[in-house]
Amino acid sequence: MPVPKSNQQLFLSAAVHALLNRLWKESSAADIGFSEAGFQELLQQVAEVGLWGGSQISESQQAAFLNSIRAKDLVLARACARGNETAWNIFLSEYRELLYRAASAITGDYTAGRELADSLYAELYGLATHAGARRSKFDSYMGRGSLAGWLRSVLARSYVDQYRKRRNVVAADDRELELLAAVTEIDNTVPAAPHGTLHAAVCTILSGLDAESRFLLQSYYLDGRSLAEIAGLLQVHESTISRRVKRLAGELKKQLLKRLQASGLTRRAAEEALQVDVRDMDVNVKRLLQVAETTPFQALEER
Amino acid sequence: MTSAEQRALHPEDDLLAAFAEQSLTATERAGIMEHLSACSRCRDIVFLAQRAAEPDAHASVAALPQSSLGWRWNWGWGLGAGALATALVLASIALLHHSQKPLAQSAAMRPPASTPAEIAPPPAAPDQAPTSAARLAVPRRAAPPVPQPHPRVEVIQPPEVAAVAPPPAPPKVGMFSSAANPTPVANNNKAPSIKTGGFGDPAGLASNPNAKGAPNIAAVGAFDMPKGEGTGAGRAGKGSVQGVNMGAGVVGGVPGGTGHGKVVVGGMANGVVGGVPGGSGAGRAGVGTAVTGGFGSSVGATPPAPSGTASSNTPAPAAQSTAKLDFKLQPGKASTAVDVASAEPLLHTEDANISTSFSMEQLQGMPATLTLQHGSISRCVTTADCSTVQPSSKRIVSLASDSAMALAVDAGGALFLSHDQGAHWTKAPVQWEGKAVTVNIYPSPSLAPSVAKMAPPAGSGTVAKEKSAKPSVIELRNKKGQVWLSTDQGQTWRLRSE
Repeated sequence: MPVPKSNQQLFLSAAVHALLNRLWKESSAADIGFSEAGFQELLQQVAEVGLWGGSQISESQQAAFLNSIRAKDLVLARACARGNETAWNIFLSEYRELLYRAASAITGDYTAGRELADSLYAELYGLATHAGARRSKFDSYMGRGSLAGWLRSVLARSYVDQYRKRRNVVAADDRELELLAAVTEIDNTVPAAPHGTLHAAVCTILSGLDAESRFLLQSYYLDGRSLAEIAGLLQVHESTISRRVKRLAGELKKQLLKRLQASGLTRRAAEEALQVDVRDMDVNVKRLLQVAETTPFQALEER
Repeated sequence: MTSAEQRALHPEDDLLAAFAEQSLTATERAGIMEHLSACSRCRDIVFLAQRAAEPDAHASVAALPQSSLGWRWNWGWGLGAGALATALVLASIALLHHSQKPLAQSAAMRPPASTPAEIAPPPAAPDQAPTSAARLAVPRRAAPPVPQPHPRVEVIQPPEVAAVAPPPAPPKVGMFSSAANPTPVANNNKAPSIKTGGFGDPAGLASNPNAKGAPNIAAVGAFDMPKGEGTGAGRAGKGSVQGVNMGAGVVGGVPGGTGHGKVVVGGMANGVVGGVPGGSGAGRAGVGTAVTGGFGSSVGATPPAPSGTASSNTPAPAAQSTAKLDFKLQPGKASTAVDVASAEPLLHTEDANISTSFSMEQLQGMPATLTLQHGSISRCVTTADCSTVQPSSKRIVSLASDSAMALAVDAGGALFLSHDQGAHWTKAPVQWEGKAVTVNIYPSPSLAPSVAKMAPPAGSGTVAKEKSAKPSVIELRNKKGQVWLSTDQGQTWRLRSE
C-alpha cells in the first residue's frame, strides 16, 4: 500500500535527514522495494501518528523518536502490506514458527493455536477490501515495538475478542468504558448500611490512587495475575512487585484507618471496621479502580 | 461500537507491544499505564502476549549450545571438546536456572493471604444495574487455562523436619533376684540417659507357689531396715511406699529384710538404684520386695538380707510384719529361734527377768519345766526410739544396745550410756583417741555356762532371776579405725591391740 503523502514536512534539518539515511541503509529497505524517499515518507507518517502531529517537536526529540523506531521491522511489515514477495518470504522464514508458537501459547492448544495463527495470515495479507483496495493488518504496525511483539499482541487481541464473542459478551469492556465515561463521578452516596463510613473511606481512597497502583491492584487482586507475570510485563524483579503490592496494601489500610478516625471513630473502632467481611460492603472495587482521573486513552491521543 | 471507535478507545497493538518492550517514552508509558489500569481487555492482551513471548526466550537459550557446538567444532578436537563440555554445562545451568527460578520466586514472594482480603471485591456485584451486572459476570480470566509451553519444574520443597532425635538407647531394666547375671552398676560419669525400669524383672514378678496370696504392693510396708550399700536419699516411713527420688542419683536399695517388703522407685537422672552391695553380688530380695529401676537407674538390685532370716518362702509379708513375741515358753514346746532385733516394737514389756541373748541351742539344755513368770523380754534400743542424745542434743550416728544398757555415739564423737532404754543418758569418760564413730556391743561368749548356772532346782518350776556373770563387750571405733574395748559397761577402755 502506498504511503500517504503527509501535509507537513516534519524532518527538515540535515541531521535528521542524515539519520534517516543511516536508518534506511541499516534496514536494508532497498532490498524489499523501498527507496530512500519512500522510506522517509514512511517514517514521516509514523512520526505523525507517534508524535501526535509533531509540529512542536524539536530536532532532538525527532532524532530520539526515529532512533526508537524498529526501522527494519517496519520496512518489512510495510513491504508485506504492499505484497512484496521477497518481503513475504523473509517474513515467513523468520516469523512463521514464532507465530505458531505464540498462538499455541496463547490458546493453550496446538491445534487452536495453528488455527488462530492461520486466521491471522488472512488479515495480514488483507483479504478485506476497502474501496477496491486491499487493506493489510501490517499497515497498523508503526514500528514502535518489535514486529514479533506486535504479532503477539495481535494474536492475543484476536484471541480475546474471539473468546468474548463465544461468551456473548462482545466488547464488554467497551460498554463498561462507555458507562464509565458517562459516570462522571463516583457514586459516593454513603448507604445507610452499618458500614457506611467505611464505604465512603474506601471510595475516596481507591479513586485517588495513581494509575500504576491501580494497575497493580487490578492485575494482582482482580485479574489474579501472578507476581511473575506482572514483573515480566513491567520488566522488574518479582520481589519489586511483591514489595510494592505489600506496601500498597499497607498504605491503603493506613489511609483507611486515618480517614475512619477523622470521621469520628476511635482507633479501635476503626480497626474493627476494617475487619468487616468485604462481601458485606456495598463497594464496587472494580469500578473504583477503573475510574481514572483522566480519560483512558483518548486523552493520550489528544496530547 | 465500530472498530474505529474501539481503536480510539484502546491503544494500538503496536503501542501495547512497545509498552511490554519498554520502548515507549515516559509520557507514552504513563498514558498506556493509565489505560491498562482501567481496561481489563487490554490488560488481558498484554499479559497474554507476554506469556506468548516466554517460549521465544527459552528457544533462544536452548539454541545456544547447538550453535556453539557447530562453531567450535571446527577448531579441532582438543579445543572443541573443552568448549563443548563448557557450553553444555553452561547451557544446562542456564536451562535449570531459568525453568526453576520463576516458580520458586513467585511462591516465596507472594504476599500473605490475609492482605488481599482487605481490599478484595465481593465475588459478585449484586448492587449493579442489570446491564452492568450481566457484563461484570464475565470472568476476568477470559483465557482458559493455558499450559506452559515449556515444562515447568515443580519444585517440591522437602518438608522441614526437625532434627531427628537419635534412637533411644535400649532400655535397661532392673534386676529382680538374679544372682547369675548381676547387673553392673551404672557409671555415673556417663551422661544420664533415659532408661525405663521394669517392675523388678522385665519378665514380671515370678509367682510364688508357696504364697497364700498374690503380692500386694500396697500392703507392703517399709520399715527401718539396716541400710544397704548405695543407700541414697530417703526412706519410706512405716507402712508407706518409698517415694520417687528425683535427681538424687542413688536411691536406697531395698534392704534385705526379714519379710518386710518395700518398694523403691529409682530416682531420675543419675543412675544407680540400690547398688549391688559390696561383696555379696546380686542381692536376694526380701519377701514381698519389689524393686523398680526408675529413670536413670540401671540396677534394681537389692542388698542381701542382713539377718539371714529372710526367706522367700514366707507366704505373705503382712504375716511377718505383724509377728509378735508374746508367746510363753513351755518345756518341750519352744521350737524356734527368735530374733528380737527383727521383731516389731509391739512387745509387751514387763519386768525384765531374762536377757534376749540366748538361743534355741541354749534353751535346749534347759529343764522341761522352764517357764517365765512375772517376767518379760526387754528389747533393744533402736534409732526409732531416739535419734538424739539428750545431754548433747546431737544426732546419734551409732547406736548399740543390749538388755542391760544402750550406747550411743553422737555427731560430736562422744559416747553416751543409758540404762533405762534411752530415757536418760550419761556421758562416758573419754579414754580413747579422736572422735568415736561407731559403737557395738557383743554379748559375752561365755553366756551358756552362766545360763546353765541359772538352772533352777528340779521341780521348782521357776527360773531364777540371775544376770550373766560375764558382762558384754563394748567395741568403739574412732575415725582412724582404731578399736577400743570395754568390758565394764563403758567405764574403762583399752586399745584392742593391747
